[in-house]
Amino acid sequence: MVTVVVSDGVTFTMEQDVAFQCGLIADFAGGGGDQEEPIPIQAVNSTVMRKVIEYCEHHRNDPPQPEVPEGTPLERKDRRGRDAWDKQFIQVEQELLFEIILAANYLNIKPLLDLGCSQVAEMMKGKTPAEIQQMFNIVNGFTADEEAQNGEGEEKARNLNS
Amino acid sequence: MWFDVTLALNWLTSWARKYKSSRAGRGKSNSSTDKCPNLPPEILLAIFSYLYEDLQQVRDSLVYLSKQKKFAYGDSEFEEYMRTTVGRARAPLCSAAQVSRAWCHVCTPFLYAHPILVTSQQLRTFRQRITSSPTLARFVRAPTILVTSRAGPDFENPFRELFTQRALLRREKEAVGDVSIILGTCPSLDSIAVQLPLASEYRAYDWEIVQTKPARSHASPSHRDIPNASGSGGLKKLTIFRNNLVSNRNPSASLAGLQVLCLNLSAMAIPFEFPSFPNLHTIQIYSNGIWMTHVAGANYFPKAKFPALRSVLLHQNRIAQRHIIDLVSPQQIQNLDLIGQDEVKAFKLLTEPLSTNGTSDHDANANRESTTTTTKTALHPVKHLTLGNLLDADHAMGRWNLTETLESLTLFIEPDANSASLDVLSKFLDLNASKIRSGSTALRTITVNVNVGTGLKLLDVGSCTSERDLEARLSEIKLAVFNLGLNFKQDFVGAYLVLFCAYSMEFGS
Repeated sequence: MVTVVVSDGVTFTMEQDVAFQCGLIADFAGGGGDQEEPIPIQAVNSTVMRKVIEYCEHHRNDPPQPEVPEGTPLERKDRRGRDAWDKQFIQVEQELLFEIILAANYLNIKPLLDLGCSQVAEMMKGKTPAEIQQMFNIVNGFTADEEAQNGEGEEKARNLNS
Repeated sequence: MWFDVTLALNWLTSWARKYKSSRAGRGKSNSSTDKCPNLPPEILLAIFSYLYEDLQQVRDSLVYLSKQKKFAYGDSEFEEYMRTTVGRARAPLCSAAQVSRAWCHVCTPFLYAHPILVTSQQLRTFRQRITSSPTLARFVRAPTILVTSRAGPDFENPFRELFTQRALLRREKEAVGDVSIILGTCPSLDSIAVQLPLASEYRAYDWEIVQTKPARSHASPSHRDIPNASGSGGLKKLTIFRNNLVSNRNPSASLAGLQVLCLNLSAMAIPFEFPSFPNLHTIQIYSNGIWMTHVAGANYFPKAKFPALRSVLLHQNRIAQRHIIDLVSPQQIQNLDLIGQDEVKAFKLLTEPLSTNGTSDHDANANRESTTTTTKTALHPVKHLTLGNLLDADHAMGRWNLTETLESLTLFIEPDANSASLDVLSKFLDLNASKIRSGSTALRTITVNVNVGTGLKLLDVGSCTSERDLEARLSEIKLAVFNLGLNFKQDFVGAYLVLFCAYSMEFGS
């Protein structure tokens, strides 16, 4: 068994095959047997960790993903082959979705990161820049000069699309 | 080939450093950054890569459709379809680029790596953008340019002088010039797919359509420091659609490093001779119906021109059988695809013993054919062989003595074909069983593809009367292959059928 303690002090105990889907925990535990000392996960709170564990438990029997060497060109592959459970799992509040993505990135869970990112990409489709800004609560950091350039850029982009 | 993540990440890191320092210098800025969520660039990169994949799938589909004979020259409906489809697929990335500075910097490489340009105006705008910004030019890896002469709003007004031949020639020249400048401006460019507007369907081009020309009037001074495509090793892959080529002159040095040449619906003027491509390892010829009629004594594929050639893919052509032998036999071809071109005759010729000068002996009699075990044939060095539309009349396959080098054999069958079409495969397995069992051949895998759609017709496998018969026959073949210790794969092909149907319905064609 592996025990972790998250940012709000809550402790989670999970079986090794569940815990080791998180690259960070596997590295901490060193691939050895049961871990007696709780592993501190300061960047994740208990709400998000529950979701992460739920995902890892569901996928505990999945075959490992083949390693892609770092720096190689991004190959197109069917990363969207998610099942109905995954689709249901990722239908969460937007704030929680981003926390899950950040947690997956921090804990090094590639399939969960892919799932979250593809969900965000789906949410962006069919939206205007203003709608995306509103949806993600983003205020652009463009200066006045850049805004003016943006106007030109938009016109050129329209030309490319026309 | 695909989007270079390392290049983008390096660029993002340097940009983030500059951005932070500029903000620190300004103190507390009132121009806010992303409040929530504060996603790091590598996550934004992962998110946008999904939108980018959608765009690439559209590109692949358009390239596939452009190969089809159905879409002839000046098909304005198809151009309109391409324009709207690409615009729709590109829209999410364009929107994301306008959300914030951070998002813009992550999106930019995606938008410029593999641009799809389907009108003259898009081509011109793209050329202007990359010639005015060396940074953008660096991101360009593999543009797809599918422009025809009748595209664009200029042609909608019948009173415009653009309808004159002179104007068509001018537009053609401009497009050729734009492509040349793109080739000369983008240092990372390694692949290009080109369909350019021709002033006439019968207009023949030289290789000038892919000549490198450095940007001059549009170039900023910093462009002088950037090596062009030829400086960085040149194009590796060139795809040409529906353009006539003549070869009076050799292509420029920018094509010296070409490794893959793909000709689609291209016509070659006779007499024709390929220029020399010393590094070319793959040649793909698709749907070339009107070129290379047999001229006695002519050899359009002299070995000296393609010393590195290893893969030949011939799909839906009408190349004279003799020229297929010229293309295959003198080379050390390892991969050969022969689909949609009278495979029966071609295969028969390829399995005939070669005469001493390296060409197929057409007068070989049946006795000589039966002794091909020890006689060199054009198929001798081939490791991966794909044959389309296997027919029960193809007795050459049933009598073919397997070469030692063949590692995989792929066959296509029609779902409504009589199951007897697989008899030749059974005969082939029986004839070569002892050789396979003894391990004296390299054969490991046999694949049978059931062709459910070539893009030109829709076949419902379930409704075929012979479906059960075919299934049963395939099971027998599968068992026989397994008994010989080989791998057996069976698949259905015709992946682009759905998109094709959608297009057909949209335009009622």
